[in-house]
Amino acid sequence: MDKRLFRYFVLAIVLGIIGFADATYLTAVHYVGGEIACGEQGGCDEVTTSKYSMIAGIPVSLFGVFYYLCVVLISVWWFDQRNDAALNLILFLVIPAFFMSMWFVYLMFFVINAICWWCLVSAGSTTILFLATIYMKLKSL
Amino acid sequence: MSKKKNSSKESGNQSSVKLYAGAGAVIALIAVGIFIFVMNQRAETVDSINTVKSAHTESDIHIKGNPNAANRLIKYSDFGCVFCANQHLLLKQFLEEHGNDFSLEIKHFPINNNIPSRMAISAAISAGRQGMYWDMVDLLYANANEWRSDPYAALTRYVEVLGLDLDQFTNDMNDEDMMYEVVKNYFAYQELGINATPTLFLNGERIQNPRTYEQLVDQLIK
Repeated sequence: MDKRLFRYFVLAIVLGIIGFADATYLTAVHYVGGEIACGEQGGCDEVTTSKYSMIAGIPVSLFGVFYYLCVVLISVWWFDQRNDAALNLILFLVIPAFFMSMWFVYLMFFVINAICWWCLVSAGSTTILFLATIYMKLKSL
Repeated sequence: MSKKKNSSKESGNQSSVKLYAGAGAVIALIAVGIFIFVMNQRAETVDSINTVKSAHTESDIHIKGNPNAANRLIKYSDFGCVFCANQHLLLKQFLEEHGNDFSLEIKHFPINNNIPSRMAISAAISAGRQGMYWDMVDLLYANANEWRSDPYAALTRYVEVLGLDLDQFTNDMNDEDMMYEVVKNYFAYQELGINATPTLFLNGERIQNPRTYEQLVDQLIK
């Protein structure tokens, strides 16, 4: 069990750092200005400047920064304390994050009609983390 | 026994301090690195806007006074702004007296990207292609109320007054590259921090807008 949890939290740290870097980049572009590096078919600007990109005046990516930061810190805490409550904490974060991600992916493809690769990377890491967390939780029951 | 427990606890504490410090350092490095990267990128974008601008519109840049003068005045201005028009009269008088030692360039800043002002800018540049830039500038500043309400009729009249070739003028007015330049420059100037008109610079240093001619002379000739 411990070995499996160990692998799980390594995965959580890796995904957390990927997501953190990704969300930090989008937040930095939002506040500093400039263009988002986006592929040929990408519409990052359209997505990140759409009316869905802010909640209460705060860019969605900034929420992402704190969420991924929490995931990383909780995982580090587990490596320190080996306290399995860490799994529940991540579960508590990843469930709303997963549904938020799905909602934003839906908006991107069906409402805004533009693809933002950075946002997809974030949605991808959250989905993987969500599935892994659910799997770990079911195994531990 | 209890001593041993304590020391193992201490070394445990030390290693967790290291763990958290390491994680914090990695996260801080990532965040700072990304911010620096984005800021550099943005600086490059602004630079490239400026380079393209100067490469493209060089022939549309008009300098009043002595182009080689050591003192360069740059005025960010909207032809429809009353204060800009008043300042233009002061600067014109100043250059008549000190035109050997000063040069003046107008950078066009159509406030809120408004269409009549953009048309007036195009008109000045188009007149410039027939050698009458500053004459058109004088007319535009003096008659802002007229062309703001009916740009087409007013601009056509100025073309007649100045004796310009109307066909060529119309052609130049429809130059999409030029319109694009005007809008692009407007946004580039905002990036440089310009947000109001008139904004006056002497050799790259911003100076207060003068209220009277005496004040202008005082500011420019210390």
